[in-house]
Order: sequence, then structure tokens, then C-alpha cells
Amino acid sequence: MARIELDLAHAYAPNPKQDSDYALLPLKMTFEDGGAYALLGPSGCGKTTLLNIMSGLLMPSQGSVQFDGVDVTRASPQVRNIAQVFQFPVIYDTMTVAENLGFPLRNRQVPKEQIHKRVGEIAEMLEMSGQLNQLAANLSADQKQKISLGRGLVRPDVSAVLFDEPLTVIDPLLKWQLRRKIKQIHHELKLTMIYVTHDQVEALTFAEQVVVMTRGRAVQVGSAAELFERPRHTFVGNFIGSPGMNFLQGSVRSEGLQVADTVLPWLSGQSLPPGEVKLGIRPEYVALVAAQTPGALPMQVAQVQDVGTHVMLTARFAGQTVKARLSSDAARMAQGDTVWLQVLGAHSCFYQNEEIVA
Amino acid sequence: MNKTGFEKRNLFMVLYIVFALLPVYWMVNMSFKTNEEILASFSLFPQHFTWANYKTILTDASWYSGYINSLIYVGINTVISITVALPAAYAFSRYSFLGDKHVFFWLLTNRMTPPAVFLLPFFQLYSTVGLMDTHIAVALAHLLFNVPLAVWILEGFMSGIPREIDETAYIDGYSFPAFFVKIFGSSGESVGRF
Amino acid sequence: MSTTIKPVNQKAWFLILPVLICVAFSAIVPLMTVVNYSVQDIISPERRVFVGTEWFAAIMRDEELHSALLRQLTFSLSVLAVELPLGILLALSMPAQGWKASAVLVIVSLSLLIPWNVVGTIWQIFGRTDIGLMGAALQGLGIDYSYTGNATHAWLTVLLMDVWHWTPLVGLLGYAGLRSIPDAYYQAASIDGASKFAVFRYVQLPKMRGVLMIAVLLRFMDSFMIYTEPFVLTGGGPGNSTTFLSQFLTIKAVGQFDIGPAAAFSLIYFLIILLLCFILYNWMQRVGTQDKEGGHE
Repeated sequence: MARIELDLAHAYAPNPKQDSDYALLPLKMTFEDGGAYALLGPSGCGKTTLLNIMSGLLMPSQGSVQFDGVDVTRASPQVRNIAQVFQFPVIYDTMTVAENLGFPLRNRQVPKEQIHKRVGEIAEMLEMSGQLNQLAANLSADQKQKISLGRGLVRPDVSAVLFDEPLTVIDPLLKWQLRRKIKQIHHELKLTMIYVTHDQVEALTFAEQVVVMTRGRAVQVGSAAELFERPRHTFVGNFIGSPGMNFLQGSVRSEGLQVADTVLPWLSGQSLPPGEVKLGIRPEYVALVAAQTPGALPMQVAQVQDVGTHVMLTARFAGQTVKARLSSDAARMAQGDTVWLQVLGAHSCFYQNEEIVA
Repeated sequence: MNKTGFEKRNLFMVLYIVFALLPVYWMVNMSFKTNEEILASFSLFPQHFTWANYKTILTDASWYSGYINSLIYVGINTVISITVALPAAYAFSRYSFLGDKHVFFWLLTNRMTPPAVFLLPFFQLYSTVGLMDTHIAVALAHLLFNVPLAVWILEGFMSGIPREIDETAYIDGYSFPAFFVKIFGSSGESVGRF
Repeated sequence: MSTTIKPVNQKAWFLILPVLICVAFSAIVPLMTVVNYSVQDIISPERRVFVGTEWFAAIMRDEELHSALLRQLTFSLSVLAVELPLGILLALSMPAQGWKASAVLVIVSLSLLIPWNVVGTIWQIFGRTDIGLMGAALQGLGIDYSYTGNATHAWLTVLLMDVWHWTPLVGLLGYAGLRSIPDAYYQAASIDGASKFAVFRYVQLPKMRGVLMIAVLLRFMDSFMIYTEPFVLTGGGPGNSTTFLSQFLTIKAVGQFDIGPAAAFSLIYFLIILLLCFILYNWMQRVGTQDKEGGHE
């Protein structure tokens, strides 16, 4: 169990001059001992690179990695004592489940009885005690992933467990079982766990803190609630939530926000720097209100999707589109109707240059 | 990779390359020496470098007729091999039919037969048919070994091309021959191997 | 053949008809001729007597055949014993990528591309004590080397020639097998603290198992059928110390014109190879499906 501190950047070329030369733009991050973290982002954002730098499979071109205050930037994964679970199950084909689980301990010359005991404990935790003597190669993908995880846990002094999209090849039905198991293990062993994924559901359900990344940048670190309520970057607003945040282009006036030719009055105490801003509001917070309500806009219904439990309304105003998640009453709406949707309220966020300003 | 592993691997590689090239090098060495020099002295490099040997094999009729013969029969062989192998490979790759696995296996066994087994019957067969001593005969004899191999390689290659491409081409209105040539012909790598 | 579901279409038989005709002409007709000869005693072109399995029985009892068979088996097993470990070592030593990988691949594959009779010729000259580098070198070391006079020397030279010729095949197959191992396996082994030998034993060798089996069977079969190279190098001599099965058959068929026994033996020879081919084919099918299910991404 370790506390991991990162202060680094990683570039492809020796002399990086611009942002695109970096795989990871300079970042400073701390992962607390025993915490559950997720690195969330689309493909190519650098999350696997970051994970590999933490595990020691990759060395950053600049900066340092510290485990419990000790600089391990140049140290191998063995020295750092981490465990890593990869995208597809990595097991030793010629060994049984028990032999697979005991492999790291055998390499450390641990006495046989201890190995046996420890393997038994871990197998119990993973609910695989009945399969200890089966050939690992014959098991299903999710069981193989459990073995991969088990190999990491079998070392009592493992510093952190790193997951690189481990559920990629698992059947959807078994995915949530494995997720639950991982969470359970986290509760029991209190290990530092870092989970890389592009699936926000996985990230938000597993982690206490999520690091949202895009194009080599860690854009925001926060809990699921923080990321949902106050995304610090329009990317986060867009990426988190299904569908993502609505953005309306507008300009700041003293009396309110001007969207096209309508002015939405500010809430009390709100003040923004002058210029162009983007108003961000999540579909969940767009409310259907009476006409002329302050902060609402008259919009043309473009599409009504009845999803059973709720209705997804797509409406247009002056060339801009807003999606609203409404209760099933709204199913009565038809295309072309005019509705008043409140966009400026307590849950609205304002962005300039993609970064949050209010 | 630690240092000692690195060195041992490289050392073995160097030694093997020397082993692989030594006989070839020796032949090249000799090819630039005259007969007299070869018999008279022993050296790692030609003392009197000469192109005479190369000139001989390229101009002497008894030598170059060999190339021409080879070229002829290889040409015939290649054309026939590919012409018959392509449709067969397509059939094996795209369809399943009665006895397909067995026919495929039987084809492979021909590649694996000891050539000596066919020596006698070929001798008899070709003299009976009157094709003895012709290019066609050699080409046809080699078909036995080359066609199955062609079918095997082409089938593997074609199986790598998703069937969806066939269907797409069909929907796009390509006639079968046109589609065949376009898709498989343009990826002529496998075909070119022959 | 792929294992995805394919539509059934009996009309596909028309597509394979040309191939069947070609191969039938080249294979079935001659083969039937051989079968024909194997059950007849051809005393003269006009007089033929059906003798049933007499030739087969005679062949089985033939002392010369037994020794040729033994010689062949010893040779094939020696070939495997040397080429397999050497080929694996070669595969492990070849660089994984970059220009060095391409260069090494080309150099190493050179011997595979040389026509077999040329291989025999190269070694015939290479081994001569007067004009050959190896022969002269060995003699310089004090060894009374002669592949024409000394049976053991002839054997070793033929073996060395085959190793030189075909080890790269095992090497290339092994190399292909190694390259298909995803990095994650090496990374996981590193994280698990495995030694280099443990990585070889638990990751590389198991994953190479499929291709190595193909290499073993290919080499065994091809060495069992070997003809050109030893024929050019030693002509089967001294005496018959390097006369392997193919040459033995050829001598019987064309040299001595014992058509009946030759034909019978042809069939037996063919059946042995067929059996090995069958095993090879089934193994490759199994390995093929394993690879697809193994999750090699």
C-alpha cells in the first residue's frame, strides 16, 4: 500500500516545443494510500501511458514518480512492487490456477507452506478455491482475469494495483460481477487501486476520485459528483453524462447573458468577466417551465424520444440545440411545438476558452 | 534486457551469420578465380580477379540454354498453377461443400509425397503420351507439387479478406470476374509469390 | 482453413474442378500405375503375372531395405536433434524490429532459397581438402578428413549440410511465433519477478509450441524424403553409408529395374509420409483454432 506522487511530463521527441509533441503534458498528481482512482478518457488521451509510467514499464522523459516519498522513477516494476492487470487476461498456459497464483511468490523464494496458505486465501477472496488444480488455460476470460488480479494480490506487500481496461474482453453479463469483485477487494484490502478506462460508468462506479484526461492532459480530478455538477472543462462536461452537457454560445452583458437576441438575467450575486462565454447546463437540469420565466428560452421541439422512464427532448433556438431530460409527461410534445426550457439556473456553469469561469 | 543477455544473444547471432555465409562466400570467392588458380593455390581472396567465369556462363550455349529451359517451364508452370489455383482457393475459403476438408487435405498430401515415388510412373506416362523431353512435361510434373501449395497459400490469404467485402462488391454491382480481379488481383502479393 | 461459418454451396465443386483435373493427371494416374506394378511381376513387356502381395512381403523382408530405413531414421532424428534447439536459439537471437531485423532475416534465409542441387554442389566443393575452405581447414587442424572415403565423415558432412540448409526454416517459424506474443506477457512476467529462464520456459516456449510442432513435422517429413543434396554431395557413398530411402528407391526402380518391388516400396514409403502429413494437418488445425480463441490481441 503506497502513496504515489507524480510530477512529470512525457514527450515523444527529445526536445518538445509544442503541446502536440507531448504524450503527457506536465502534470502534478497525488494518489493517496488506499484510495480508488480512475483514469478516464477517450482512446489516445494518454491514460495508459500514465499508468505504465506509474507501474515502471515506461520511464517519463522528464519529472519524477515517488512511492511513499521514495523516488522510483528509474526503478523497475518489481522494485516498486506494483501489480498490473492488462486488457486481456495474461496467464501462464502451462500452469494450474494454484501455480499461476503462486508464481510471484515462488520467484521470491518464499517457503512452500506460506505460498500454499497465501494462495488459498487469495483464491477464497476471488471465489476460485474450487478451481485451484485446474489448468489455467482452460478457464473463461473473466476467470483468467481474476487469476491475473490474484497474482497481483498474492504479494502481501504489494504497493498498488493498476488496471488497464481490464474488462475489455469480458462478456457484458460478467462485467458487473467482476467490477463488484474488484470493489469488494478494495474494501477488504484497502490497497491503492488505479483503474484506466474509457467507460464512464466503470470509472464513476469504481472510483472515489476520477482523473479525466484528454489529449495528454489531466483536465479535472474529482469525485463523480464534482465532475457531474461542476465540470471544470467543457470536455469534462461533454464526456461525463449521457448525453453530455448542453452548451449555448452567448455574450456577457451587465444585465444578463445574451443568447442570440434574448437576454437571460443573471442570478443574484453572479458576475462574469466580459466577452463571449459558453453556458453549460446538463440535460438533467433543463426544466420545462412556464412562458417568460426568467432564465428560460422559447425553443422549437426537434425530436421527442420516449425512453420509457423519461423523455429525451431535443429542441432548437436560433441555430443552437439543447437536449433536455424530462419526465414522461413531456411525451405529449410534438415536433414543431414551442416549449420554454430554463437554461440559466443554479446548476448552470459558464466557460470561457473551454475553462470554467463561474 | 540486462547486459550479459544482450551480449550472448549478439555473439550467437554473429557466429550464426558467419556460419550461414561462409560456404556462399567461398563459392563467390572461387567464381572470381580461374581454374588454374583454384587448383594451383589456396587463398581467401582471388589473387588474379577475373570475370571470365561469369562471361562463360552467360555466353556459352551449353550454359544459357539451361536458363532458357528453366524460364520456359517455370513460366508455363506459374500460369497454369495460378489459373487453376485461384478459383479453387476461393471455393475453399468462401464455401463449405461435401468433402471439402478431405479434398483440401488430399491436395496437401500431394505436396508431401516423396518425388521419388513418381519417378517411375512419370517416366512411363510421359513416354507413352509422347511428351518426353519437353518443357510441358516438366511443367506438368511440377504442377503436382506447386498447385496444392498455391491453393494452400491463396486460401489462407483469401480467408483473411472478410466476406463482407465480397457482399459489398456484389451489392455495388460488380460482376463476378470483375470483382475477383479487382479485390484479389490488386492484393497481388500472394499471387506474386509464385 | 478458417473456422468461421461458411455457406454451403455444392456448386463450388465446379470451381475446384480444374485443380482436381490437374492434380489427378499428375498424381492419381501415376499412382495407379504404381499400384498396378506393385501387384504384378513383369517378366517381360508381354508377360505379366499377378502376384498379389508377394512384392510387399518381399520388401518387408529385404535386409537392404531395413538398413536403409534405419539409416534414414537415424538421419532424420539427428537432423531434428540439432536443428530444433539451434533453430530456437536462432529465433531468440534475432532482433525484434528495425533495420537489423530485416537484414538478419535476409541473410539467414539465404540458404533456404538456394536450389537444392546447388546446395549439394556448394558443400561438395566446400568439403574438398584441396580446394574447399572447410576441407582444407580441417586438414590443417590435423584431421584426416575425407567425405568420400570415410563413412562417418560423410555422414557428418551430410548432416552439417542439412543443418546449414534448413535450420533457418525452424528459426523463421520460431521467430514468427515469438513475434506474435503480446508485450503484456513479458510485462506481466517482469512484474511477477520472473528470471530470464523462467520467461523462456513459461511464456516463450509454450507460445511457440504450435509453430515448433509444425517445424518438427515439416523437418521430419522433408528429411525423410531427402534426395538431391546427399546425392550430389556423396552420391550415396562411401558404399551405401549415406544412401537414404529416396535414393534407395530410385536405385531399385530405375537403376536395377526391379519394378515390382520398387512399386511396392513406393507405396509403403508414400503411406508413411501420408500418415505424418495427416498428423501435421490435424495439429495445425488445432493450433489454428487455439490461436483464435486465445485472445491474442
